[in-house]
Amino acid sequence: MDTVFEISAEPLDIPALSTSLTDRAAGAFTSFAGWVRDHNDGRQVDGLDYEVFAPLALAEGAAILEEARRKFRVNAIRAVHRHGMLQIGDCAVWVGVVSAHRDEAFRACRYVIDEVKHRLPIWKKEHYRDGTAEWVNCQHPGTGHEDHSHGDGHSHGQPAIAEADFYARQIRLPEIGTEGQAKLKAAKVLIVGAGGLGSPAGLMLAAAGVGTIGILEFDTLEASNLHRQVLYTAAEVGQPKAGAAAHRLSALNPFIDVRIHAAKADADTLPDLFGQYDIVLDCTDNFTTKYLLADAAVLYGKPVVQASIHRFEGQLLTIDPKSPGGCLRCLWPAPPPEGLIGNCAEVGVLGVTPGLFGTLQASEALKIILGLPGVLDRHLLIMDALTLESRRIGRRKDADCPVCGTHPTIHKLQRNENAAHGLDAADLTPEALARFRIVDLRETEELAEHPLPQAQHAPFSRFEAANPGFDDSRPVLLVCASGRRSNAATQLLRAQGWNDVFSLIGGVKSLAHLFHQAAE
Amino acid sequence: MTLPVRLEYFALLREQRGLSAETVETGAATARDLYRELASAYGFTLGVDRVRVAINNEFASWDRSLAANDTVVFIPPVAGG
Repeated sequence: MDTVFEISAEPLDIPALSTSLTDRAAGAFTSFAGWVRDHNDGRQVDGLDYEVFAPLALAEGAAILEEARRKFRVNAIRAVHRHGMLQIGDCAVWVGVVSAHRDEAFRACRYVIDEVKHRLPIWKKEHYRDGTAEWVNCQHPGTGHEDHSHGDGHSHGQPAIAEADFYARQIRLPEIGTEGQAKLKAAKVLIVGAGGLGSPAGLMLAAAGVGTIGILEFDTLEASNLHRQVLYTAAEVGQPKAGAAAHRLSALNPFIDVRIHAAKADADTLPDLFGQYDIVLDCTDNFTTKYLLADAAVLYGKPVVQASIHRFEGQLLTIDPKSPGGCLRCLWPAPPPEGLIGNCAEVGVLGVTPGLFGTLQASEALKIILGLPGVLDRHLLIMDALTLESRRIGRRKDADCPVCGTHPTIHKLQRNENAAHGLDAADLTPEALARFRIVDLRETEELAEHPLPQAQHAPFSRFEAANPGFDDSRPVLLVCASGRRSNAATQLLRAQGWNDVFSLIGGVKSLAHLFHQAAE
Repeated sequence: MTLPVRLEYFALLREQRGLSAETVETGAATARDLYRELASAYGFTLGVDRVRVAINNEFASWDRSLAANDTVVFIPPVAGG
């Protein structure tokens, strides 16, 4: 064991951790333990809730330990960070270092705890003795003095304003009043995707005083997000979005509870989350998740407000499982293959377009909470931000809908992540096929059976995802004889960060009719 | 015999058609026939089962017969955010 970094949900067994570092070649052992303290910034603290973005935290933690081991030439380092609910006196983080001599052991230990505090995607929520709670950002790049487990110079405390003053202008509306404001405070809204749509939606809901806002987001902030994701600042590039978003919304409105869910929206996470919230905003950017959320609206009986953007135009609809207006599958029974329509990364987007639609999503949520008329549960709104023309198109539940029809075939959330990256030749036209770089993964001796001269040849036996022999300057369609090897290669490339790579379902023979058509 | 109808295109279809609205004289009996004519004329990449049609501001069946001066809107799903 040279370096081990862990995240633990269980209390730390410090004697066992220390013993694990026993090394006959070492003359020095130093350790640091961070505890939960009973006060911060003058407020009495009862406990701390640590939220960890585990995949990134584990990778970053391991990197920090390796850096320290090399930099200070120590024998071994072990560090553990807790997550979950901690009480006063609990150990939140522990670092142990063994080395030949004491000086490098002290320095490496100090380096590790400082870097862990600065770089790990970990947020803590302080629970105060007065019953309130607040997210405190653990990440303060550029500051460097940490000698306790929390309270790192972030200034917070009781806001100097009164809650009634915050909402004074909207309480004046007869449709809202103090009664409506109380409904808003009691409401729980989950925002799925804290990006171009989720940013304005989150700001508007927080400002309006929606009492509980959840942020479901697993991504980290990139510079190319900032032109439309107005929750964030340039200084936060590289940080996980969920924590930054929660911090921003809590700063805007200290009277609400903002919850972080640093996870993917999928069949594992959504059932529990739909139980925790009243309304869900679909602020995602891909068909797979949009269909999951639309299905969840029906299956778990909660309204879902969906918005989607294409260049300068957008679509908005509210799926209310009790409404005769139906769901997303009543309109389009299945998602089109990913890659045929294009997303913001591929086709580009002006920030104001998701800005408009995210704001409209917040408006839908507020109308539902307040019982105001005009909810878009029986229409689809299409609007063009250039011409400012809009259409409300009436929609009705489809009796044959696979999820909300009279004989549904979908009874639980779908788990076909692999199929989501498969293209069915039946969905392709010659024009659609022409968009792709086609790569044939068959071995040389297989080619004669169904020749595919249009494809680049890259036999699967020599395939390496890190160096596949083609690039992603165009969308890539992988083909083989049956679809199995192309599916495997697609998963491998996607694991390397490729987004626009797809596997042809059913193999090369299913393409024949398309080339035939094109030749005619 | 042909009928005048007003056509509107959204998203990908707008780009592939190269304009957002037009009035055409069509001999197509149904919305489906009309879409197929347009798809082959302008190289639409989305098949009829991936697109929805709305006639006079209501979603309609592809089998719906066209009437003079109908406003026919073709809407593909979009997913950006």
